[in-house]
Amino acid sequence: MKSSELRGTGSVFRFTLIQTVKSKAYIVSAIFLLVMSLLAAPIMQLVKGDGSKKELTETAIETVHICNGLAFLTDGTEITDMTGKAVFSGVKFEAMPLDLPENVFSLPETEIAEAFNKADKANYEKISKQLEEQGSDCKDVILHAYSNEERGITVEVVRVAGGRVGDAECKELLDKVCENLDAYKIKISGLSDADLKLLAYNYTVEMNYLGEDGQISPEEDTSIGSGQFGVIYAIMFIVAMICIMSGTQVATAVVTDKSSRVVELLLTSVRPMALLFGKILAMLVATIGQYVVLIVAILFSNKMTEVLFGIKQSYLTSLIPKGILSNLTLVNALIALALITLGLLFYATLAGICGAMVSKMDELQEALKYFTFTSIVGMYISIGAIIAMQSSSTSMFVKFSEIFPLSAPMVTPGGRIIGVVPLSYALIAIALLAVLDFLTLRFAAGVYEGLITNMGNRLTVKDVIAMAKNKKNKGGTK
Amino acid sequence: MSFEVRNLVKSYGEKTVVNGLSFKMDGPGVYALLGTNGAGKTTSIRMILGMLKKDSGEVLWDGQEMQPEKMNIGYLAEERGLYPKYTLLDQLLYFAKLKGVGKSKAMEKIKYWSGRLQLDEYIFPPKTAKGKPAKSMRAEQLSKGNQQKVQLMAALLSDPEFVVLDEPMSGLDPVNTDLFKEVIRDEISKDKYVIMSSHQMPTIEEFCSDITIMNRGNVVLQGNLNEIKKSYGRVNLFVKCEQPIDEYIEKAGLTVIEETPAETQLRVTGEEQAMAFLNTLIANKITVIRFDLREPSLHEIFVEKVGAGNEE
Repeated sequence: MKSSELRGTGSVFRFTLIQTVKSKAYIVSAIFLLVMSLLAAPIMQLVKGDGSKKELTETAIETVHICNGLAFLTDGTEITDMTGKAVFSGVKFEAMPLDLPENVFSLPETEIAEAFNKADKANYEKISKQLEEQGSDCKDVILHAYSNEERGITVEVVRVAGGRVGDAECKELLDKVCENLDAYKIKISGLSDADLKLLAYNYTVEMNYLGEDGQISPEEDTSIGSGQFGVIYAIMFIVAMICIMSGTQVATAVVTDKSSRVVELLLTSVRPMALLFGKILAMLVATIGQYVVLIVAILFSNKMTEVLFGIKQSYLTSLIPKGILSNLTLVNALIALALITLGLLFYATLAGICGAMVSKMDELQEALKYFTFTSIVGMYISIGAIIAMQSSSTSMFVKFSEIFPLSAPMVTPGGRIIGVVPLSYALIAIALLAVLDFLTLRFAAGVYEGLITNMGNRLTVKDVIAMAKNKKNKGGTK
Repeated sequence: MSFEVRNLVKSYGEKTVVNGLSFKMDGPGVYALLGTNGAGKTTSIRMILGMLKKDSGEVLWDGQEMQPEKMNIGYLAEERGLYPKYTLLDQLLYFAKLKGVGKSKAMEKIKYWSGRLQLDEYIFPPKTAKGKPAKSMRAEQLSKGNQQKVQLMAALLSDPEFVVLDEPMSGLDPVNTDLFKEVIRDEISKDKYVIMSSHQMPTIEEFCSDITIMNRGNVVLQGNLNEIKKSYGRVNLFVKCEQPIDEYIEKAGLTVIEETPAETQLRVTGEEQAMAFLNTLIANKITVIRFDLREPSLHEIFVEKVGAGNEE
């Protein structure tokens, strides 16, 4: 392939890119993705964000009425200690005395529980009636603790529907009460400080080998965690989507030139390879552009969610494990970029050749089967490898997927970023992909001229290979 | 400046679709490539324009191997097309850009051709009722004839020095045919090199001085059109008389080619036989309204050559 064959690539690139970006399909999908991305973080926050790290600075709660139906507690003070929760410092805690028989603890165990439940029920009904009467102005809540055989201990905070007390306050109050209950359980268990220290010990599990020399050699854990799985899978998914979307668009653009019969006019000014290259670059930029907009919108939306919700960390951010991207250095970013670029180039060139094999739009799907098959093979190997990484990232299959040109662009960038793919494997993958790209482009250069001017007939793979082999026939079939 | 094609050959497998095509244009003018469907005209044009690789032969421009992508070439392809979904202005600017014409120059040219080919209402539509500038129409919104005018426009936007017109007038109505002819005449007057392929023989006779007739990839006749015709001699006699002349035709041993209410076309061996027939008519007091002795038309020559080739 000579450099003169690429003259005019810039003009083809600009025109194709502008027309693609101006098309209704692109604008509609871009707007849809943009809206979805902008809404993603706040929606997730609203739906799943109950456990967020929102700092509660004030509360509407004035009085907490404690209905304590738990037989093992003598009063409610064990659960009303609000140390470390300044927001509740001004809140009044009122324990409602239980109306119990005088000799209640001398009764059989089952009757004790029954007596407590009965007294608790009476208290609960009385106080709930009082709160209901306050209606929407109600600033009190009921802290109700009770037990039954089926559910064990239940602690609930009850507020008036439509009242002044919000979700977050109730949630924080419950968290603190449960914390107090745990502490109380430990206290009444009679454990010493030494016992507690023992309980708090962390320990690591290892499986080691005893070698012939008597040395113990540890078996390294090469599996990836769920956070790493998420990152590598997300990168694989995005790369695969860009490959498929841009490849399909390249093929469509090639067939559009042929089906609209514009190709003959274009070929008086540019060589076929310039047409193909211009289209590949334009479609890659258009597709990558959509994803960049999507990612930027998600980041923006995430930041805005944190600001608007007044939280330090959104639910979305909390999903990304800390330090997961610590391996994302400049070198690794460049390696990932090189792998992705070479991969996209390969898939787009393949799609371009498939597109050139037909002349009508309704034949495109049939011709794209070769591209679809290849990309699905690459994707399945990648998915299989990423799943296998959860057991071991050093298995033969995983290593194969990291250097195999069809799967490497999808697996290796993410693997390198989370630090499970060695540098040597990444470099081998780049070398193999570069060789494959060179061969694919040479093949495309050999047959593309004939394919693109071939009007009418649908060519088979056999025809295309024959055209590449037979120099006499180079230039097309009729 | 000269343009020359030397021994151009193209085969697909065992089938030779162009077999040794050669011709030369020593100066500006119009050269015609004629032939039936599948004769090899379009394949030859594609090889000349570098779209197809030739198996052998040379295409020379001013004595050097022609490099079409480096030249300013205007091409109206037989299989014409425009992007159906893109606006006319966008694609015309694109075609001009590929020819190296800058945007402002291209706009100037588009406006000129748009006016000349009566396409203003499609390329530069009037403002909308709200006063907003209307968008240029998409190709799919135009009739076939108007699309053809846009394609001619695309071919001539860059003011090419070398123009290839493959069936330029096919499918046009008489009004647009005249419009196209006027444009082609203007291009010829600008001393351009034009190669024209057409099935419409009167069009070729109107514009071309030199021709090549191809049949199944082979050249069956080539040369200056006037000289070719002259070599056939004046053998077509068109006669119209007030009285019936069938018996005189029979006596003279002439062949009737065609008989219509307007005239009778006869085949004569030459001027002497025609004059003898006229004398016979006059001697028999036949009122002669029309007596016209002509060379064979290109149509007749074409049918004779290609027909003979196909019978072999």
